[in-house]
Amino acid sequence: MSDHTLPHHQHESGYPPVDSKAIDASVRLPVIILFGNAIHWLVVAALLSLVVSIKLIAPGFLGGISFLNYGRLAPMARDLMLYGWASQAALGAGVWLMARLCGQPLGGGDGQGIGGMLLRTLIISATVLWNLAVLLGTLAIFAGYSTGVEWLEYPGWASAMLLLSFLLIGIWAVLLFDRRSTGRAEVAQWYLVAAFCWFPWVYGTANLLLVWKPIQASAQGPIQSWYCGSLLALWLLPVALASAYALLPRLLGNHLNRRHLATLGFWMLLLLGGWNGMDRLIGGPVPAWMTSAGVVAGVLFLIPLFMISINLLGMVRKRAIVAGSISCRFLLMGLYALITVGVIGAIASLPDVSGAVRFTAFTEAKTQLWILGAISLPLFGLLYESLPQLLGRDCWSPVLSGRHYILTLVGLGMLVTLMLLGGLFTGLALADPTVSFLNITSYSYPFHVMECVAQLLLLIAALILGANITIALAGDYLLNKKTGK
Amino acid sequence: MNHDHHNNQHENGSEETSRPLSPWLVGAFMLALCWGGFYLAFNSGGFRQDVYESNAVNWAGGGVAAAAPVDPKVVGKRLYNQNCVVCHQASGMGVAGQFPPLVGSEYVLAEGNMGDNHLVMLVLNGLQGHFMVKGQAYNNAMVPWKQLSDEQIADILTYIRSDWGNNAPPITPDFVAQIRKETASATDSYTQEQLMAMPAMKPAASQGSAPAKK
Repeated sequence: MSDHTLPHHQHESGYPPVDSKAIDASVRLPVIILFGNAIHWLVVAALLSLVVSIKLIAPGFLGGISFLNYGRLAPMARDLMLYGWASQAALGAGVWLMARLCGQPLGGGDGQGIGGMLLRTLIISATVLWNLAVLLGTLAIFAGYSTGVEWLEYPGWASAMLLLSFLLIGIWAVLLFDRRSTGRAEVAQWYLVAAFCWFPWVYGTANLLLVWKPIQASAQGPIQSWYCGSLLALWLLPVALASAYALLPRLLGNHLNRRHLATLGFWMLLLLGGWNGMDRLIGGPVPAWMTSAGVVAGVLFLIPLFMISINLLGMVRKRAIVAGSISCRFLLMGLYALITVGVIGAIASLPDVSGAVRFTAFTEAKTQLWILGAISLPLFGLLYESLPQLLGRDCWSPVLSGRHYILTLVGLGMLVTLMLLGGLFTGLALADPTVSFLNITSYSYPFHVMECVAQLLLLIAALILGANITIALAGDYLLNKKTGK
Repeated sequence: MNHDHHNNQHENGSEETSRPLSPWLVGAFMLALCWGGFYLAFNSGGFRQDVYESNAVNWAGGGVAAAAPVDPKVVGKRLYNQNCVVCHQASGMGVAGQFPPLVGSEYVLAEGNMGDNHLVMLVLNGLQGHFMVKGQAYNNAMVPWKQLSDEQIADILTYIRSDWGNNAPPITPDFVAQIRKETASATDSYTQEQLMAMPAMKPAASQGSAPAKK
């Protein structure tokens, strides 16, 4: 269709005409360390999620040990997924994309000067700090020192470490943007700048008002809901979308048309993202306008999602290209997951529906699809594309990559479908006064059993990814040894 | 402005051919936005911090769904405790020789020569001099309560007619308003003689009001 169609695997020509090798070399180590740690936490989080879901069918499993009870393992798993995996992978993705899209090696010059070295050291130190915070925060929950605030369970000192670490990394991404040599900003760069500015604000505010210096209880619910909505829609999702906006045109060898649509989608996403979580409070002790605004935002959120999807999916012309690129497939699946979660979210935010399904697995299905689908899948896509470029060679095992892709999709699809259906049944049964609670638990039992299977598939998928990247990096190490680097 | 090379064309140049969106899609977006506006307008409780029921108040502050009617006796009791209890006491028994009782009082229950209008009049404009209640003589003054609204006076009177074993029909705010209008020219508190000179307006229904026998 287009004369500009680039042959696959010639991504280089799509990037700004700068020395992408030098840029990759300048960010290689920090980004690989971020990715490596992220995947390691993904495996741990998947394992904990499996244990948590087993506890739903066999409450006695690992029972009797206080630090292995559901109330501690569930937030540990969720926080590891959010901060250990998704946020860390997003940081890595952000740094790499920003450096590439801005045409700037880290630290200026060719990236190998003293400035570049200092910056790399700083970012690596910050990464160590980040992982230390995640580790200590997780152990604190394990030991019973959770704050009890959903998604902010890490004690105040751990969240302060996380915030500091983020600032130390994020500021370079924003400074890179300031010094870009590529002229007009790409769509992906808008999203990255927004995300890197948004996380410190959202995370800092939420921690300040809920953990460090808690304000009056009546205001805590809305702030917490705002935080949950914002963390997903204004930090993690923008990075996932930046990956798609940056990589899809190059992978598909096509152009992004309708930039005005991208602009509109971007601003509407920012406008509605923060309000998106408020529908969690329907019927709660908050002023009516807050929940109503949440309902409206939940439904209108579909508009930017459709705009973004039309934008990105409009580039798909040749199925063969999609089929041939694991990265491309992950990115597109992420988009489909995003649209699905948008539709589910819009339906679930309507007060009548919400009243029936809110306190069931339905809500959890939405969250899982957000984190594991709309956010993680594009991040996987970016990972599969970036690592070969960073290492300068084809490092992935195609077999393992394919298995990872299939298992992730099957596991996620199964998990979300089961939770949606199970939640719906539970919700309807709960609303029926003639059904006893014990009966409802037995209705949902088969769903929980199958959810365990889904979680097991996801754990295997995470392990395969872990093996894949270990082989990739070990291969690099062996290669370096051989060439005497 | 930019020191980029030819390749940048790919990023910033030809690709942004703007194809218009399908009008159906634009229409759907507009419809969704309109829905959002209407939904907020009718479910935001007027954006008030003290409204928790989403459909209790519309955005203009007016009631969309009717608020549950208030019980005049509950409001009346509160007003009674704020305004009347000092003299007539929480028991409604007054103080012997000084303040007449409300329990079984012919003034309150509109018995004998007394009517609803007399009760409202004396509350609105006050009472002074020598007067008889339940066969006891009193010589004191009750201050006018004109400053209270029709609604408040009606609530208080409805309350004192229903508590402590009193059982007389309620007084409506409209009736208070009517009497207030009729007696607007009165400048001084009434005496019993002045009150009695006016024809009694009896309660519309259920004449058989009787104080409880204890």
